[in-house]
Amino acid sequence: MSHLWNLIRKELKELMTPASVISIIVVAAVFASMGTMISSEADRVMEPPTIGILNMSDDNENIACAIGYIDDFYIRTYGVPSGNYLIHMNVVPEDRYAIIAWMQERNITVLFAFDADYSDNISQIADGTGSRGLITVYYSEVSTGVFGTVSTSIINMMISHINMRTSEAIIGDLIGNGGDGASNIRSPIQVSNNTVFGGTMHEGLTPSDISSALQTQSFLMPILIMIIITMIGGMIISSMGNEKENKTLETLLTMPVARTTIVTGKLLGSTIAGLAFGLAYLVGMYFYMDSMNVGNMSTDNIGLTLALTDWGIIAMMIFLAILCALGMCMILGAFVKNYKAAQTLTLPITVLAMVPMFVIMFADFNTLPGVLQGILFAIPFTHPMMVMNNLMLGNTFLIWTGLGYLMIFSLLTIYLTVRIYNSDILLTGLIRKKRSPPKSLFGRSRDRTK
Amino acid sequence: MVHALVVKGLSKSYGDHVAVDDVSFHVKEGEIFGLIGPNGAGKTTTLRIISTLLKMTSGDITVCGIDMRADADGIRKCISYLPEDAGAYKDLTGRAYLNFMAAFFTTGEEMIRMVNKGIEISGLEDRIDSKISTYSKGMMRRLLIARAIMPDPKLAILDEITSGLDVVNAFEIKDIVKEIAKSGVSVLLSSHNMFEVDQLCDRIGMIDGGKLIMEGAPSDLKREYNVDTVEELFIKATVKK
Ligand SMILES: Nc1ncnc2c1ncn2[C@@H]1O[C@H](COP(=O)(O)OP(=O)(O)O)[C@@H](O)[C@H]1O
Ligand SMILES: [Mg+2]
Repeated sequence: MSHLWNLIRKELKELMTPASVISIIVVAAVFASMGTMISSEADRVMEPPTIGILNMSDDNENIACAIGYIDDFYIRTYGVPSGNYLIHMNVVPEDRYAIIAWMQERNITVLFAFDADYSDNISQIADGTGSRGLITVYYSEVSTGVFGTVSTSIINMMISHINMRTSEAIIGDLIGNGGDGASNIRSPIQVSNNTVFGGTMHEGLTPSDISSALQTQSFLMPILIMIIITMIGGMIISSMGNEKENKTLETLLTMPVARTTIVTGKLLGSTIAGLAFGLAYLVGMYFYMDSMNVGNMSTDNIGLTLALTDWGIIAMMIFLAILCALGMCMILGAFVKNYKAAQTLTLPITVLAMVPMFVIMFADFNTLPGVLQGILFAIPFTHPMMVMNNLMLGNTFLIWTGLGYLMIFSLLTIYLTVRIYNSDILLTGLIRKKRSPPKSLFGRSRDRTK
Repeated sequence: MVHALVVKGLSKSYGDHVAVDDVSFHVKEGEIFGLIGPNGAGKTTTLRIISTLLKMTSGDITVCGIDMRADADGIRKCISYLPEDAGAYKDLTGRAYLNFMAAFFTTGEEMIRMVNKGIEISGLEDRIDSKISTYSKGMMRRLLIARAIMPDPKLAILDEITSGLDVVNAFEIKDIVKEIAKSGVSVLLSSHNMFEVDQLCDRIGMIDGGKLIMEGAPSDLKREYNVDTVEELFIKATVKK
C-alpha cells in the first residue's frame, strides 16, 4: 500500500506541474468569465434603457398614444414607468447631425423621431387612404465604437409593441370595440402545444422548447468529456514517452515492487489528476452554461430533474471512461519510444473522443442507423457523453448496458496493461520479423540500431 | 561459496534475430566483472535479462542463489540496475528522487539513513536540492549511481556507466565503482571501451555477435595471448575464431 502511495504521489507530481495546473485554471476561468460576460450582458438587458424622443409634427394625439404604449412596455418589462427614461428633445434640429449631436451631448444611445406626418398618417389609416406612420430610430455610439447599454432587440420589441397596440386601436375604432375584439381580429387563431416526452405530457411545450432545455446537457457533457479525455490521455502518453526516453520506467521495473502496483499507481495517479482537472473544467463550464440559460427554458422548468442516484451513475461513468482512456493510453504508450513519438500517438484517442462528441451534440443516438449506433456504443467515451439525457429521458437500457460495457472495457484494458508490463514489449516494442542475423565485427557490419 | 551471479547457456532472440547466443559466465562475490564488446554485441540484452526486464529464450540464471525462473521478485530485492543513458524525473530535485527510490526499500529512520548515504555517494552536496533538469551529464550519472548503490544491493548491474562522459567525470565514476566493490558489492558492468575495463575490472568477458568469446582476468588473458592491451586481445580473439 505504501508503495502504491509512493507511486501515485510521484505520478501526481509529474502530471500536476505548475504549468499544467495553471493552463487548466486559465481555460476554466476563461469559460467562467465568458459566461459572466454573457450574463452581465443579460443583466444589462434587464435595465430600463434611456431613450430620446423627438416629435416633429404639430398634432400630438397619436404620438401621445405611442408614448403611452412605450410606458406600458416599461411597466410590463421593467416594472417602472417610463417617465424618467424618456428624454424629450424640444429643439427643432436643423438636420440629422444635429440630432446625433444632441444625443451625444446627453449620452443617449437611442432616439425615436416621430415623422412630421406621423400623427396624420395614423389617423387616416382607418379610411384606407394615406400611408403608414414613420418612426426613425437613431442609434449613436456614446464613445467611439461603444453602443452603451441599449440592446437592439429590446428596442425592436418596443417598436413592435407600439406597432401592435396602434394597430389594435385602429381596429377597435373601426369595429367600435376596443377590448379583446380588436386583438382577436389581429390574431384570430389561438394555439395550444402539448408534447409527450419522457413518458409525460407537457402542456404548453413544443419539442424545440424541450430540446433547448436539454441543450445544456447535450452540449456540456460531450465537450467536457472530450476535453478531459484528450488532455489526460495526452498527458499520460507523454509521461510514458518521457519515462521511456529517460529509462525511468526500466529502472522502476527492477525495483522490488509488484508490476501490478506500478500499473495501478500510474492509473490511479492519472485518474485522480484527470478528475481534478475535469472538476475545474466542470465548474468553469457550469458558470458558462448557466449564464447561457438566461431567458431560456431550463430543465427544472419542464420538470426534468436528476436524483442523487442519477448523479452517482454519472460520476461512475465519467470515472470509468477516464479509466478506459488511460488504460488505452498506457497500452499505446507501451509502444512509444520517446517523448516526441508520444505526441503523435495521442491522435487515436483524440479522434475516439471527438467522433462521439460531435454526433451526440448534433444528433439523437436513438434515431441513428444501427451500424452507427454500434460503433458509437463500442467507443467507451460515448456513454458518459449521453448519460445525462438518457437519465432524464429514462433510457434505462442504454444506461445499464453502457455501464456494464465500460466496466468490462476498463477491466480488459487494465488486464492488458499488466500483461504488457510483464512482457518484453514494454522495452523492445513490437519485434519486426526478418532481421538479418548478427554479424561479427569482422563481418564489417556493426550494429544497425545505433 | 555462492557466486553473486551465475549465467549458464543464456540465449535471447528478438523474433528470429539471435541477440545473445549460448552465453555462460559468473560473477564472484565482491568482484567487478566487465562485459565488453562492440556496439550491438548483446551486452545490454544480457544485462536486461539478468535485471528481470526481459525474458530469456533459453538458459539458466541464478542471482545470489536465487533462480530467475522461480523467483524474479526475489532477485529484484537484491539487485540494482542502472540502464545505459538513463535519466531521472526532471521535475524532481535530486533529493526527492532519492527519497522516491528509497521508499521502495525501507521506511522511517532507515530510509533517511539510506538517502543520506546516497547523497554522500553522489557528491552533489548542496546541488542535491536543485531540480534534476539543471544537472550536467556527470552530475546526473553520479546521482543515478548513488541511487543504485544506496540500498546496498548484492549485485550492481551497470550498463555503459561512463559512456558520453568527459575524462574527469569518467574517472570519478570509475572511482565510485571501485569503492562500491571494496564495500563488498559485486559489480557487473558493460562497456565498449576496452581500455577502461582493463584498469577497472577484476575479470572480463568478451562478447561479440551475441557470443562470449573469452573470459578471465585481464592480466592473465594478456599474458596468455601475449599482448599489451585489451584492445589487441579483442582483435586477436575475433581473428582467431
Ligand atoms: N528491441 C529490439 N528488437 C530487435 N532487435 C534488438 C532489439 N534490441 C536490440 N536488438 C538487437 O540485438 C543485438 C544486441 O543489442 P544490444 O544488447 O543492445 O547490444 P549492445 O548493448 O552490446 O550494444 C543488436 O543486434 C540489436 O540490433
Ligand atoms: Mg548497449
